[in-house]
Amino acid sequence: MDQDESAADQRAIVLALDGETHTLGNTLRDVMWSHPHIELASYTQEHPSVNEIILRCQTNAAIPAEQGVVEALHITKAILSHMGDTMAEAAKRWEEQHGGGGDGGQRRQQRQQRQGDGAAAMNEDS
Amino acid sequence: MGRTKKAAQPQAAKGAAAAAADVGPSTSYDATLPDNLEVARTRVVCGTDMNLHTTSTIAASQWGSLGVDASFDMDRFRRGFSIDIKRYEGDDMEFEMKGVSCAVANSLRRIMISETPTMAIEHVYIVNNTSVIQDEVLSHRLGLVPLKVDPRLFQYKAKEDAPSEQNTIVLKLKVECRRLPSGAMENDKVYSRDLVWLPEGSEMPDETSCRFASSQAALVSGGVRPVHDDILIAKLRPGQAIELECHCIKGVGDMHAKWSPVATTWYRLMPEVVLLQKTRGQIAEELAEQLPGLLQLSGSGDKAKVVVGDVRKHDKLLEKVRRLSGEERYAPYIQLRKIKDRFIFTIESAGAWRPHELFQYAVEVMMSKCDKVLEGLQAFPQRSF
Repeated sequence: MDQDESAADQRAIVLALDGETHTLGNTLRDVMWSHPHIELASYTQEHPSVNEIILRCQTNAAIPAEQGVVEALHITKAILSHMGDTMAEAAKRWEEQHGGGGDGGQRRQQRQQRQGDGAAAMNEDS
Repeated sequence: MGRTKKAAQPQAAKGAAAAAADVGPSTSYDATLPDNLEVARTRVVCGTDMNLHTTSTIAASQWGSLGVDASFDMDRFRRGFSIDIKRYEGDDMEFEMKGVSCAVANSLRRIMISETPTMAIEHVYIVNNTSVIQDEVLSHRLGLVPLKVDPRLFQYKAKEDAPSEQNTIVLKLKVECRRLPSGAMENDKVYSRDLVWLPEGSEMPDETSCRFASSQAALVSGGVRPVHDDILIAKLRPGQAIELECHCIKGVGDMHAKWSPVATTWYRLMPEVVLLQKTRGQIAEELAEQLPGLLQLSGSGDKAKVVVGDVRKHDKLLEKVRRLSGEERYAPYIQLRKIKDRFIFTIESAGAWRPHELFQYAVEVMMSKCDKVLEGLQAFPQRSF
């Protein structure tokens, strides 16, 4: 980074993220607003035909704007990681409580076909 | 309910705030928000002509003047976040997710629909098609047949890549309709169960330039077949035949909807019906009559009281609550609200993925998006607050 840049220049940053859409933009913007040192966060897709978003971040003097974006990304990852773990636990809890009731529709269909064929109904459930 | 909170001691208020804050979005409080702001923070108020407080993005310093710090707090988030699966039957899953913002829920929904891969028929090599279904129509229909195979076992195939056992699945369809000696017709309907998997690869490698170095039988343990056996692909009359070879590749919903792993996935906000003040007597009886089950009446005449029952069980009455809340007579008593950080999330998988694995994969995709952006930025410490 340019050493002569004044602290004021570092308080704002504009990023162009190629290949990104509202999927990342809106969540990142939402998380950025909850950062205590970020004064402004916004994103826009300038034109729907161009697959790119422009992200703006402005911070108070405590940290440079780039750091604000980086921290917001880490927070987003932490949130997501916890969500993934929680879903895994919830699915495991469900399987334990309902004895593998979440099998694929195909197996249910196979079982129905077998029973429909008049074959002896077999309990295949784990 | 909230009227007495303001007069309470700071300790009690903090306790009440802590209890309330565990219910609402993740924020930290030194002081408590007044009731009206708490409603604005956590609830969408549904009116007859417009909804209020629909945004859920909160700036960290938004209520700084009130002494309230709304910045992100990881511990509070962990405590407030939960997923509770309500229904999980085969390919359909419905769960309640609490404690996360709408933006994240929407991002995961978008990823599940358009950025999670599956395998689908892409190239159809037609040897013979004497049916009345045109080649391109038949091919289009074949592309939309969902396949029960884990796409993570395969690699993407770029246009310039050669088809191989790593990136292509070959299916064959060969059906001829004929009239049996008994007079009955055989094969007059072509179903998805007539698609046969060829683990050894293409049977016409010179035309398709698809040569497998080894069999896929070991790679795909369960075999490859359509999710549903009974999808009608074409109808034939005696003498008509279809003989073709389908090559399936990995893709995402963004490219073509045939690759979308979900029939669809959606969420809605958890509704809430609130009695704005003590509802007694005739008003109570009238409301209970209008909203049977949702409002539970006890007592009668002047002593009649109503209490709000289970909102999820009486879904169909919620829009009626919205309408009644706009009527002059009932407006002071009843209100429909939505809780901004509670979602009733439904994932209907098309069959290739298990719904909860879809959600977990979407989380991974979102995290890799964050990583991609982090690569281009300087490294900083993870938290400065």
